[in-house]
Amino acid sequence: MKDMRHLFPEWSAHMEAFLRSFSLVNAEINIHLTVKVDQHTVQYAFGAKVKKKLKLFSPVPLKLDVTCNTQPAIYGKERCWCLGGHPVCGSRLHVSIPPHAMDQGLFGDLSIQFVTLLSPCVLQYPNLATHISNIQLMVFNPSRVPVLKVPRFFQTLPAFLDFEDLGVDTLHCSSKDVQQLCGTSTYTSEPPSCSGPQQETSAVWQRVLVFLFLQLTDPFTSQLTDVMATEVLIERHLEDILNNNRHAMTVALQSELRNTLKAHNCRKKIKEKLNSAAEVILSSSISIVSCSSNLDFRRDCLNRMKVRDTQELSAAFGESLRRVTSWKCVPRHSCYSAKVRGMFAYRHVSGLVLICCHFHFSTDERTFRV
Amino acid sequence: LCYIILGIVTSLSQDEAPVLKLPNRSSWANISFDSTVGLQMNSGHSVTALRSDSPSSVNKFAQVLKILSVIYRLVQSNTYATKRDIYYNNTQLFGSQATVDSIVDDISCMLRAPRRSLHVLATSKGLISGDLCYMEEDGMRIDCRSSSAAVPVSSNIAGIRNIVSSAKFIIIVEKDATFQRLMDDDFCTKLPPCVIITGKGVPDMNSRLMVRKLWDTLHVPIFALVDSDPHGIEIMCIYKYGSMAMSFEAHSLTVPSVMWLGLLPSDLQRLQVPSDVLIPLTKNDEKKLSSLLQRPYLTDQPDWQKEMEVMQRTKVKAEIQSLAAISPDFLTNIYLPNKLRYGGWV
Repeated sequence: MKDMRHLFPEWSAHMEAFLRSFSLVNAEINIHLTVKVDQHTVQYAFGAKVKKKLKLFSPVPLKLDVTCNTQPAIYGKERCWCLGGHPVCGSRLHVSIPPHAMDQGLFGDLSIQFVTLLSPCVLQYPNLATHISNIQLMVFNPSRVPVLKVPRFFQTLPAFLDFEDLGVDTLHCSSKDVQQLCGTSTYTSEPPSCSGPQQETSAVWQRVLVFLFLQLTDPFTSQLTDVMATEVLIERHLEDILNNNRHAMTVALQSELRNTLKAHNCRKKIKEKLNSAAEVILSSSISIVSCSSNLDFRRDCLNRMKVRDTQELSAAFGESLRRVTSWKCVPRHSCYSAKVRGMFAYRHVSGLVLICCHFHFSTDERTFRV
Repeated sequence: LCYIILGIVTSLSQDEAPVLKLPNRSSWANISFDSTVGLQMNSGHSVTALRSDSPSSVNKFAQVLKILSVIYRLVQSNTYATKRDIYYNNTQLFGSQATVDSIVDDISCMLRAPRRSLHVLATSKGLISGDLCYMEEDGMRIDCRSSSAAVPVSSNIAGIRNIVSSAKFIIIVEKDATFQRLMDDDFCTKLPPCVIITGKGVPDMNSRLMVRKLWDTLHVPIFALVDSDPHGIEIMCIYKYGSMAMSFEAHSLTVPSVMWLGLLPSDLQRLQVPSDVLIPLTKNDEKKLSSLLQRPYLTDQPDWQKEMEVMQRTKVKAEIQSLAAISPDFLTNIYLPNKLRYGGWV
């Protein structure tokens, strides 16, 4: 893919982020983008390989793109890996509309539906350690279009969240870490410091995606023009709406994140238990081998682990034990499994670089050309 | 023991999580009854798998390995340690003494080796008194004939030798309180020579080994004196038929010839024990009684079954101490002498 960002640097990143965010929550729509700049033509496609349907409080079900292209550093043999995610429909928070927004014509029952997604999926590897790399909050208007301007509310939000309660104490957030791009606020973390041989080389970095779907119910708004006007009003007053409901929003987000990160925190405890036991297993086994006077037994142990002496045996035994316990696989029918062969590589397919001047949308139901 | 470690190394070399297989000592499906031995573990018993990659079993896996390494060192250096020593060596890993006790028995069962040969000793809790002298392995001579103080049961039964006794019978006493009462009343000197032994409730292995050793050496009748309640009957069955947990060592622990001397449920009616000292059976008592009646060994003991059915029917239980309600010295001066003289056992 040609990198066209150098031609239109200012709006290219925003366009890409917008289309990516849009595509995430409208997975039934395939987006084909053709960019023509002078003599150069580049074509891009946004589409979901793995989709998940969710029923929200809305007549139209939500189709999320849960494709995950992240692959961890897997050692050795072929393993199952889930190429999708498992979004969780969270709570629905009713928010109050500030008076001056109502003066401008914004009426009805406004709510925010939370949907969370922890990606990549490691459910098939219950013993695998995970780290949280970032938390992304994405806001969508009632038509499921990403909100263009991210409210400042999300910049100050980290100060009100209790990260210790969430169990992500390595997640440091400050306003400079908050990246805001086309409806998305990202809080990044610092990588954990190396803490000795137990530092997980097989740990997987996960991100938390929190989708905030604005929903408005107004029996007096039915015409398309009215709907569009209302959505403009919502976006215009979004900052005030969020600030007006700061406490409720903070509590709701804290609760959603806590539920989502429960699995991550359980893994931490499991990992500590396994590591602690592994130390005892290693020391006890090596102790028996080291002080055994049975030469055949000692030789058999060294040969099977393909080492020369008990010192190498200890290292190989420990490494092997940590590896087999970390990569214990419990296949799940609900996962989108595929066999992947391991390399010592960490591959993450990031987003496309694009500059948009020509859109072509196609869906199963209809085709849009812009 | 080396095979276990080699098995773990082999699993790791094949990129598989090591698994330890422990015989399942708590399942009735693994136990069969033999009237000459008692309860014993079947050769094709089921096992419990401890996986090193499962959070629910990895702790126990580590504990077993740790104790195996301790045992290995003890055997290599020909030294001994008690279960208590092992526990205090790493209290954080084991959590409780009961964990160590259970794992030592699991290892004994897994390796098919008596605990003594693992160089792990258990502190005895039993007491013994009466016409009995023997020598401990270290050469110390033990004389149990003192009327004032009982002798603790040895912690090295296998090392006992030169047993000398003219006892005509042995009485296993369930409770320490009853044992002390017999000691206080000089019971062993009043009747034909005898030996009394107590495990102070559910007997430890050394008490059971001692009873078995006395049976093997002296070949005299062995009677059980227990409370007339389901718990007492169960304790008596442990001496006679063994326990599920230690069924893999039944041959050295059981004495199938033990006879039930008292306190029989039928004694309560016959002696007209005052009703105010009788205690109604609780729901748990009734459950235990029903469970005992279904045990495989009771089909061989119709007289025991009848006694237990009396208890089921009357729905009362009584301690041996309840005989004091008839008269203070009824137990040692009337009840036991008459029972022994006139064959009042089943």
